[in-house]
Amino acid sequence: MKTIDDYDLIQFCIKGDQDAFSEIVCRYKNLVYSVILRMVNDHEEANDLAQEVFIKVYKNLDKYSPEYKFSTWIMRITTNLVIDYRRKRKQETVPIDEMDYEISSADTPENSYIQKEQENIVSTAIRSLPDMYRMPIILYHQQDLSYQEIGEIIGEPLSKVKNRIFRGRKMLKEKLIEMKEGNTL
Amino acid sequence: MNCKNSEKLIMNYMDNILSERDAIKLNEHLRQCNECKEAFTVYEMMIHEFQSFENVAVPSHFEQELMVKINALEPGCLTQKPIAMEWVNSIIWGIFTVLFGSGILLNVYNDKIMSYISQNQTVSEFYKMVSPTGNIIIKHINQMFNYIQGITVYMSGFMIFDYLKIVCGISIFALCCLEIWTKRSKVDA
Repeated sequence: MKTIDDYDLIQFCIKGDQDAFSEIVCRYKNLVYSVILRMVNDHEEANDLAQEVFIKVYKNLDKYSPEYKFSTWIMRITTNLVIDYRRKRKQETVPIDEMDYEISSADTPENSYIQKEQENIVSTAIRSLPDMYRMPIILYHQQDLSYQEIGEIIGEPLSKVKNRIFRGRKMLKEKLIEMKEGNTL
Repeated sequence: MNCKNSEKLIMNYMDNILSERDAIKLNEHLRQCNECKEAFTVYEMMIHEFQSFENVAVPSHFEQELMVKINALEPGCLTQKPIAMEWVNSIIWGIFTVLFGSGILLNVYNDKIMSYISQNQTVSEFYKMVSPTGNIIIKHINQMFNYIQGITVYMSGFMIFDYLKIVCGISIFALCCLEIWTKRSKVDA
């Protein structure tokens, strides 16, 4: 099954082959889940949202056009869904700081302590970024996507993507320096 | 080199596209400027951390749960239904646009059309031939018109045209909203 490419799998799905969809889920579940987890910081929420993404993918499979890579298309659905979700949640006024605390204590204790500590600092700093900078940063640095692909995912021109990533990094840097100073004081 | 340029070069460094010549320039600047040097260390730490970010595995029950949900979806949801809906939508819109557009044209060019009909013999003969049925229809429309006018005048003393304008306005507005909403949900998908 591994050798079949995504587009053929999709065609099988449209014809009603559930196993083909299960293979698609297998290929992309960790990618979708990881990106969502970086955006919402809660395993349960991320789980629900990732399921929602795949249901949306399934319902819209016939609308997929092979001019984009399938991963780009899935990321686009994921991005729209998560940003929409966060926008709605913001309206319900959830304090962001509270969410931050939850995640730092809920991480699995498998990496070495110092490594984890540093990763947490960067993760926390990423969480402080506004969505419009955060998503490109995650896609570029965590998922190793190109500027071009990110542009296709978020529907913005290359120059804007570049700009957002540069500004995002700068904001991150400032946040990290701020956190460092806060620690030493 | 100033600090602004140095930041640009650091960005290139983070993108892995820093040329050797620029690297030398950047190094020189970092040796002289403490602020940029601190920024560079933070950026480098950032890259290092980014590299250690790994994809997180989904919970073990993820796939099973999902496939249950997918199986529970109605079987027709992947067939051509949405496209059929698109067709219905576009046909409704097509008819609406044609009727609306021709109505406006007829209204605007009313005088010209009437004078053309009276000048052109074949057309005016045809018009005379058709006019008995036309008259019946117009009579019915006038009757309805009077009836509606009676109701509306009774209701609120509105002028009938004001009333019709409001009705048309609201229905066009509602149609536009509906169209935007369906487009939006399509884009979301």
